[in-house]
Amino acid sequence: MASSTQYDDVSLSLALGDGACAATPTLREVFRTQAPFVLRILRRLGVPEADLDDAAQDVFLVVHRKLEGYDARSSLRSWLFGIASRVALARRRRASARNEVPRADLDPLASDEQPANGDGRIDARALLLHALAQLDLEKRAVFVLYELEGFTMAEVATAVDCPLQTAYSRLRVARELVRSSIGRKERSR
Amino acid sequence: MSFQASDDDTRWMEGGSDASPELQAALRSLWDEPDDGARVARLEARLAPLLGVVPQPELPSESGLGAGAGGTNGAARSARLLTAGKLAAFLVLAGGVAAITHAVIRRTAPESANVTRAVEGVGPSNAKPMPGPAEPLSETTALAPTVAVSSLATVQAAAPPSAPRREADSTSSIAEEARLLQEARAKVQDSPGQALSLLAAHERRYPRSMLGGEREFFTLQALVRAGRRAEAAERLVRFRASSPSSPYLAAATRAVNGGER
Repeated sequence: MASSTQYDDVSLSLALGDGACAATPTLREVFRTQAPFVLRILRRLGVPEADLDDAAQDVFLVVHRKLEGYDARSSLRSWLFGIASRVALARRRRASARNEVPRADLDPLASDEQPANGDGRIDARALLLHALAQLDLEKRAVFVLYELEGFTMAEVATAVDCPLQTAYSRLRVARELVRSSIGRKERSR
Repeated sequence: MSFQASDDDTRWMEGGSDASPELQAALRSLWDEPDDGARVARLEARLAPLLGVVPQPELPSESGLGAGAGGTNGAARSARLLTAGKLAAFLVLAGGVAAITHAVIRRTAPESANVTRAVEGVGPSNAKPMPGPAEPLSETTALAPTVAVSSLATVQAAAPPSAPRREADSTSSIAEEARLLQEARAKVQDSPGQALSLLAAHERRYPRSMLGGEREFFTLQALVRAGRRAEAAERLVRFRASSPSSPYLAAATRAVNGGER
């Protein structure tokens, strides 16, 4: 990370999110090690680029308030994901309450247009993003954590705060919906 | 459990999954995230009061809203936004924030005379200088008000000879706002709880007040005085994000961080 700030030399075993850090990490440690993760998660949960700074700020404000209660029984990243997903959901609900229509230029996942490269070929990445945008946040969270972040299903269940079986169920449905959405797009070419 | 051993456990990216090569390629492409280094640095500047680092000037955001973007600094922008009414109200408050105006008035005596007249014209009888500041502030603290006071001549010259009634009403409202803030400010030192109540009342009554920056500054002072420094730090973060060019930002930052040194 390119940062102008010099931090103290701190133990960063918590960076791995393995729950091995005995002491509660400081906010500075969490920020230093997890800020890119938080940004990535928010983006993958559909927060538009233009809102990322504000959403990430909200996440760390919550972390600041709740850090004392973090007991390291769950991995730091699972805990952070729980916060980030709630922030993303809250922002989505607020936008919905204001009847805001996601702008395609800000949220590439929101566009109904046929995602294609300049040469007319379907852009597989855009197709997948479009498919993810059709998922509700609960299913999208499970899909992102398992397929993209490499969480185990037990960690996923902890992060989204649901029973393991429910997490599996959401993953299965999310996969079906993603496949179906991509299939529809490909057939409509 | 049975489902743990099912095919569901095979990630789409792994060999043996039933995902098509195209789907796998698409998933792989999602790993190519943009470089967030600049964004992290920007976020760090915002969160500086909480992170316990020396706040850096907030970097310009991609939308160009950051302080200093486009070569226009926040102070100059604030000066342009000042109306005669707001200026008068500001000066009422400035009487309360004595240390902020102190250095300016000493250096700009003619302007300060105009300032007094302008304030009297608005009507608040409590335009007399208030007791000393909540905390000793250095000359450099005068950055924010320097903008307002030194812009006085320009603002007065630009004002029409006879202000429309609507403007007069607006000025009256702002004077009322200023009095409320003044009352709150006077309680910051000895009764921060009461000050916070008054400031909250002001926020409810005037949620979009032009004096929001002043209100925020006094609120932060009161929170610190009440020992609620963590809350003040969080509030400062939001203030930095919502008003990156506020002339009160530097003083507010000192108010929150000052006690930690």
